[in-house]
Amino acid sequence: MEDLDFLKQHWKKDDDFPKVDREEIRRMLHRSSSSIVKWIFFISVLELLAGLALNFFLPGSGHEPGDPAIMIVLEDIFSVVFYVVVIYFIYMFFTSYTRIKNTNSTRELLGDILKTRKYVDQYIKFNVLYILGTGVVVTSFILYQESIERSKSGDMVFFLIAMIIFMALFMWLLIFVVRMYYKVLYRRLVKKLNKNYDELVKLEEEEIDS
Amino acid sequence: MDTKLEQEFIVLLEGNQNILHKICKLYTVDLASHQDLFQEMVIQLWKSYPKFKGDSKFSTWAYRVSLNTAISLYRTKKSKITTVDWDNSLANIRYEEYNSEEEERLKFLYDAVRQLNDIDKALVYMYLEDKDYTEIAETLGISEVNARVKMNRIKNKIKEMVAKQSVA
Repeated sequence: MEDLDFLKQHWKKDDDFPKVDREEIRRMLHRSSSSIVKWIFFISVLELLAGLALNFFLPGSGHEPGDPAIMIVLEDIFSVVFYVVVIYFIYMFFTSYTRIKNTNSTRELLGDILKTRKYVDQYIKFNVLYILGTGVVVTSFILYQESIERSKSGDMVFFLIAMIIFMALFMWLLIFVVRMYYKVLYRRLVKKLNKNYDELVKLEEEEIDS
Repeated sequence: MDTKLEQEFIVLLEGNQNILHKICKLYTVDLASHQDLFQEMVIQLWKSYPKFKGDSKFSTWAYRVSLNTAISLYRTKKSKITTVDWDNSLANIRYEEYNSEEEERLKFLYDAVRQLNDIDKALVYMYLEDKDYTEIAETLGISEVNARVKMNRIKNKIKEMVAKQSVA
């Protein structure tokens, strides 16, 4: 007899499980879930908030007296773009979150969870790019101002190099921190989902390839 | 509040709890994680119960949500994957009905299935439950042809595992 059919014979008779009584089931209903989706939801909301908070403290988020007009206009454009994009991501996150249904097919369910998470990933990437972008704009502006104020060119070269090193370090640190964060927290959380989703779509892709 | 709905659900779940236990048996390796997964399945079932319209049987609906919970929602707690744990815990195979050779074979097959990936386990579960390929395909969200291909691969995989073991 084939292996699985042999197992099936036993499987059918197997009811040797500890009975969970009605009172226990009732208690179970009111405990809180520890599902991956719940974790992803909380972490994502925190990340959305963190992105907002971070931008509040960054340079370029407020006008200083004495800023030249071009700087003020740039800052305003940056802010508007930033908030439009943030609202877009928050909207997409919540609408795809509400689409997650455990009664759908496994593939749909996995796809919806991963899609929800993808919006937050893109949001984080956007934030990093935004911070780097504002960093570059602010730095170039400072350099420009300094070049007007400093007359000696040796001085200026020194300042330029120092500034570039500082910016490079800052960018490297930022990317490093975000990467580490992803590796530790997020990859662990969705590793299982990605693996299972790939397992389901792999066959379909094989068919297309062949 | 919704005590009537709750009561109804509890009665149905009590009568169908072996579905959950059997899925837990394939997806977990020890008693603690079995109970943990069972708990999460109960929560997920209860959460979507108000939308259960009775288009399908409760048992069909319950196994789908439970499989989804095991595959997509359950966070595997860090526990050593040992097969030893199982022999002394719940859901023991009632060996007295089998001779020692069959007993060995059963133990080995259960271990083999537990080593498969989450999706393969779901296919095995539905195969053991005699679900047809249309239902298997629909539950997982893949085509019927692919469900068949996958099932054949699993059978071969298990055959290989058995062959390897008999050599060892």
